[in-house]
Amino acid sequence: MGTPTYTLIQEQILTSSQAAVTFLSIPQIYEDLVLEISGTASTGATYWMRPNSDASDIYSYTQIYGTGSTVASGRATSPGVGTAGMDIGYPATTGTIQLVNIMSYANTNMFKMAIATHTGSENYAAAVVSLWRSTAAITSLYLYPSGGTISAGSTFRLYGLVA
Amino acid sequence: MLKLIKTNVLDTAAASVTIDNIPQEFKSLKLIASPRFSGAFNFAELRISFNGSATSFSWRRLQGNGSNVFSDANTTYGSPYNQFILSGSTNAANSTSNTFGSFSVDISNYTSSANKVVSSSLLSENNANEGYQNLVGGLWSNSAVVTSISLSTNGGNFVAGSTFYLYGIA
Repeated sequence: MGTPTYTLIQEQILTSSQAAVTFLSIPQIYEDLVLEISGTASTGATYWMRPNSDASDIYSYTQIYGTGSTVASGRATSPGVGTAGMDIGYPATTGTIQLVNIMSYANTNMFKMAIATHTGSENYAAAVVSLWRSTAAITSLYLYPSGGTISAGSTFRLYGLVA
Repeated sequence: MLKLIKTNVLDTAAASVTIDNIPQEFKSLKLIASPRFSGAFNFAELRISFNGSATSFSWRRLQGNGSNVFSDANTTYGSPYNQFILSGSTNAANSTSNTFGSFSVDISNYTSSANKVVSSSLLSENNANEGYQNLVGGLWSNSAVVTSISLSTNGGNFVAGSTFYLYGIA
């Protein structure tokens, strides 16, 4: 039998609305992480992700998105605007999915990159690449919307991938 | 865990492809396919629906073709574009031979009673002057669990050699 390649590390299914979701004590035994988020929020916002709850001004991102009628691309760099976290998508009051790939999360020789696709039939189809300029291994993830709360029933699943 | 549930490799052309009797034991589904169509076009549409339904679908797309980028939605066109989730366009008979599209769709919480949210990616290339990259968010506003997935097109039939692999994520 081959080695399992997609291992569920932690799952959180919200039973009430929350301001944030945190994954703690992430095992350091995988190559990459995949985070799947499905659900709604109390208002349209941006999902930010802070590895190790780091609020330092060391984040940057580039995004491309379509609204169903218009397209745009944006970029934010630090210092100055890079404190919120890694941009991983845009929750809405209707259903959305965010699929986030975090490569080499335990590697202490490189900065950490996340690639997120966000899709929702009522707000955006978007792809975002974010950089956390830290060589620290990722042991936790702190996720929060830029406004409002995450709705009850939303699901967060963190998977580990092995090579 | 990522587990292969169903495999369908067409040995003859088919007007549509349905994957049914989907086990209900997983948390999410991932369908990976390499389709090609028989219609006399460069590219034709790939459409997704669930449980044989033709109602309550909505979607929003971001597409690039190497020189332009645009975004549309089911509301851009009206019926019948609310009868399925459009994933984009992929290779048909007039495109480069032996070239199939690359398609992936994630269906989260497919056994829940919530509306079903879908994320799909479809990439197509014809080695000439045309290619597409599509990112689509879709919604099936239905509380039913997903027991089958149907793929269809407006461009003829799926040709022999098209492949479809359904995975369950536990």
